[in-house]
Amino acid sequence: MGRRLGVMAATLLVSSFVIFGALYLAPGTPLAALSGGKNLPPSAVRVLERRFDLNQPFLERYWHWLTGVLHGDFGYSVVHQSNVSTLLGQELPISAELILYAGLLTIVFGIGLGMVSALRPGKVDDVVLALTAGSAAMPAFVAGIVLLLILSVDLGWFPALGQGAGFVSRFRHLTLPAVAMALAGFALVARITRTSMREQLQNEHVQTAVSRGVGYWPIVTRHVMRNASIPIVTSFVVVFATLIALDPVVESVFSISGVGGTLVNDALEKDIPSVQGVCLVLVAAFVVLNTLVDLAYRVLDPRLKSRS
Amino acid sequence: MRIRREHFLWPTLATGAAVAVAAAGGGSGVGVGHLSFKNAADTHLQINTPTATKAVRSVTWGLYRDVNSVDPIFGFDYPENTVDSALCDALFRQTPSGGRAPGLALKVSNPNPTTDVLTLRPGVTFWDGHPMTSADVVYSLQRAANTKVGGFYTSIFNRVKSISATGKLQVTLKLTQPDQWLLGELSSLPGMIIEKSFATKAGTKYGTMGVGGMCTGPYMIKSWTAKNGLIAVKNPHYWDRSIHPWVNQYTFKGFTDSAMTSGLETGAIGITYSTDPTILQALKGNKKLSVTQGSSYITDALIVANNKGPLGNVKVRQALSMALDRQAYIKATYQGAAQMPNTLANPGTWGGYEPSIFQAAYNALPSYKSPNIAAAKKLIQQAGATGKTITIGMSNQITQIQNAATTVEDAAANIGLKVKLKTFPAATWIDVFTSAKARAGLDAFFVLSYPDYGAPEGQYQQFVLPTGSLNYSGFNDPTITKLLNRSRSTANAAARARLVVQAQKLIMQQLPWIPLSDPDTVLVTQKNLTGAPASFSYMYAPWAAVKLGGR
Amino acid sequence: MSALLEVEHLSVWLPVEGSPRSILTDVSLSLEEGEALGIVGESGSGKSMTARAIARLLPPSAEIAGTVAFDGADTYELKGAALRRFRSQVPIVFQDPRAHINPLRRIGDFMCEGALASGGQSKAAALKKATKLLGDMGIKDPEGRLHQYPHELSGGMLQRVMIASTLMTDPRLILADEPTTALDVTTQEEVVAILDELRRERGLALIFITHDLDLAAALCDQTAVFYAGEIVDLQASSTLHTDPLHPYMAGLAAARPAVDSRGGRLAVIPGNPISAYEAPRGCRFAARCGFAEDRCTAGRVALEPVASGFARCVRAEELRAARGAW
Repeated sequence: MGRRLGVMAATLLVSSFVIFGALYLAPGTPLAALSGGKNLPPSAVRVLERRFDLNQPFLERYWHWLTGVLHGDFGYSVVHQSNVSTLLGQELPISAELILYAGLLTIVFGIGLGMVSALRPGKVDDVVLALTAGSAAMPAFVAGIVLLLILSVDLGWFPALGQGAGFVSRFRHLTLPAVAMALAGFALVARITRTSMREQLQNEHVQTAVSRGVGYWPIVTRHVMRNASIPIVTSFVVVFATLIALDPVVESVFSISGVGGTLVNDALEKDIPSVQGVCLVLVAAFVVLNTLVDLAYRVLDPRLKSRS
Repeated sequence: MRIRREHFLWPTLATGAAVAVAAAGGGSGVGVGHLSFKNAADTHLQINTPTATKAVRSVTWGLYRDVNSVDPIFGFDYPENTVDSALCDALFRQTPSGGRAPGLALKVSNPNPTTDVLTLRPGVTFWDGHPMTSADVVYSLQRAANTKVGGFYTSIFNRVKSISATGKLQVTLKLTQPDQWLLGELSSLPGMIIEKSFATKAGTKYGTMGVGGMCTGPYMIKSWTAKNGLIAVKNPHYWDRSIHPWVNQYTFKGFTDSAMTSGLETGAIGITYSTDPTILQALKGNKKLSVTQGSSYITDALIVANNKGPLGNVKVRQALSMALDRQAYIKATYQGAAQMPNTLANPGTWGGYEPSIFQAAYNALPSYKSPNIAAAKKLIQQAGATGKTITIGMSNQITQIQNAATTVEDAAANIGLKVKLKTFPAATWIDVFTSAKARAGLDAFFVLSYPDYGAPEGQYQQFVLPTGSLNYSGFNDPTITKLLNRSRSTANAAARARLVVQAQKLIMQQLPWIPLSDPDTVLVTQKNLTGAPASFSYMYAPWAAVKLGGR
Repeated sequence: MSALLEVEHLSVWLPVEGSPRSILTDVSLSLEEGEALGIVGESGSGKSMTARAIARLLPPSAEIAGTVAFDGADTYELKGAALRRFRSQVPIVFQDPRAHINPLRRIGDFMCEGALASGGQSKAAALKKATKLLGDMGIKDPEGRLHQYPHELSGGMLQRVMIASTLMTDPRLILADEPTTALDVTTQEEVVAILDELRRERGLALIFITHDLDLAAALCDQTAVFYAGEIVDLQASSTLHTDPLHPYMAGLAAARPAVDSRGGRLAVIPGNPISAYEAPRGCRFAARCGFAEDRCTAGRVALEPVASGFARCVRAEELRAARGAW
């Protein structure tokens, strides 16, 4: 675990340096965002640059930022005129809820359809394959817009914008975006479930179980799904990585005030502390996710446990 | 991507001021639109929409991005202008048609031409109930003028020697020269008054999300988070008893283009201004929405950035201007939500004073109705510029600019000029305005600009004066400069207007910029909402917020 | 009283690229309670398929002709619980315990799941039984083993677990499909010894599939020799070597001294073995047979009684009579 934390810290350090450097080198200034890109009087530029440390050399700025983070201060967002930690505190829960909701949909429907597809070869399987091919080919923002146009604008079943407040409203607001995000990963999970279940169905130990008079569902759950769960759980890493990557687009389409929508805009506007804050959280989320999956492996595959 | 055309609108930074009588009358609570002026050049443009009759509990106001500050001196763009206008009062109020009415100041008097004495309105309180006094006004103005604070409007005070309280409700501005433009600016964001005690306590964090602000306006901040946007509720103790806002609560929130569209279509967004023109037709066709085109201050033009290149020759500029097919451009780009320009100031800016003088001068100028290729070609030949190349900066990720570039390219080709386009990504397009390095080698690039108050000179000064903030070619015509500076000092409105139209005539001959169109203000509301002016006043005055209501 | 297992004229086809391919042809055999039958043949001769066909483990796409009757009941009529109960009565000991035991589940789970599926036993009772059976197999610390995972056990140990697991449901017939092939020589002997002992002590019927003729002969009462999906020679193990009824079996018997008695491959007869689907119409061994005549390939050859056994050879009697020929 200590090694793992070390790797996590190193990952965060390197990625923060790279992101910081890339944003530092990119043309433009976050001050442009304050004025809508208009010419500011030189006095204003001087004052604001000093206030936000914009004209310090790269390493000095990075060091300043890094020491701040180590003391729990994520810096100040020029574009939002707010502490980054305050912004994250407000936006992160929404993005986390959206991603988890989308992840849940991806996994439940992905595994469900994958199972149906694996266990019912023929027509059902063909339909599922066509469905997953279609959803995998559909970019999330297109899916988002289509869902939005049909289910919110035309039919008015779901709210079109924002994240709502309170459980029921939040649930209703996040459903369409979560579905839009889930479409791509759902196809992946369905296909991996199908393939690995088919593989396990062919497996010799399944035959043994059949020969011992074990019933169909116990075999499916205890042998086929149990063993297929390793590649399926592995695919969750990709699923959540995809969801995190899709989050900004979908948040923009549905005007959800999470970290993702802000990220794109703030990167364009060179709001380094804000982008850094979000990226740190995302990288940390990845590392945590990988750790969780590693731990899941240990639970799922006893062979790993004894080897380590 | 939240980059859209609004990023590229530029306001004026008035550099001067002159004494003036100004339109500040004496009465209290003067209502709305006392100048019921209609844009005479394009009579179909609206100033007002039908009066509201019903109270509404809550309305979401769509902005192209979230507000980042409610400090008026850091407000420089649509979202901040819109929100500040609902929250704060300026010393003078711009009327829906662009005129100047009393605001927190009841009147201006001039014991001598270089002294403006402002008489403040009694009985005004901030949201917290504290009465507004001259101390707050002096503090606000000095703060706006102080380059150490870093506000965006310091240069408008460049004729101001001192700002002092000369009574509990009296503030005296000592000037180096008389300054009419200053009074115009004081009807805009730099003239908005914040509470001294609140602001000194907040320090540099004044106006930011965690701290908020303290103003006197008809709406006050209820909450402000990144998550839910800025929520403002009716100020129950608003000083102007003639105003009865219909809407109890506004949520000001940023939306991307696509979210704005779906939000309007589903009713989640109640009102927005200046929506992306490319979706205008779709919105107009929606039975649930009202779309109104109103007068505006915006000018859409080509900036001449290099007086050493082919465009340094006035004949080449004139020829290019003559050859532009503006009608086709307006149709393609704005879907009708822009007008043919005769000058480099939108007729919507005439509302401040003497509109008839501006109208007459406008009518007397040659019109750009259709391109005159033959005459333009002849001018190019006379200038010996045939076959020469002009380099134009553009961004093909911004539809309006891309269309403009095509229009210029076509015109140039028709008259024997070559065009080289230098393309910038949308994200770095602003560098053209802020970085000499990015501008290097460009003969021209595109701009949308607007003044802070209703006056054509507010627009002109920024690119014809040698010190103008958008004068990129070093344009310097002593006659024009003299005329404009004189207008700044001229108190008599008619005389001032005549100076401005004289300068305008020369400007339109010299063409330091080449006009492309006069874009309209576009107001979109739910059909069941009405009352907000369709004019540009939403940027500077609270009319939109207080007049919107149910129908 | 009818035999415990009665296989009559069993033929199996499996679809390969859409068209059925013959796997087994006209297999008939019968087994009494407590009797052991060896099935011997080369790879692809249909030995394992026979076991799977008996245990109802063929894939659903298989086409089947003929009958398999267990305890007088047609097994191919069985469905649902009855089918599962039947399967638990004829468990298979598979060749490779590593592959045939789920690596992700504990030994205890593996041992008990069949017993629990067929009902009637509590988990505790099943675990107790499993402990005892493992102990019977000579496994030390049987209780501890139940909590271990397959990868923690050696191959031989695992095969003993496999054998023990078949006994959990008190079966009447065990199908052992090359149970020793994957094991090292010492372990092979132990496993064979265990099977033999089981059979004798518990009176279990056994079908022992192997390519080791001697092993089959040593362990089983009868031996069936498979070639290209057919039984070509079926008789008592005691007479197998001395009185081969089919030229193929005779060839094997003759070649025997030349090979190691354990693990010796059968391919010592000239020519290459063929599969059922590529077999000619007549005698499938004809191409490699030193005694083949035109009539051998003229038409289908049936499994006919010869002496005390059966042979699938038109010249069987004739050749047996002229024993001196081989």
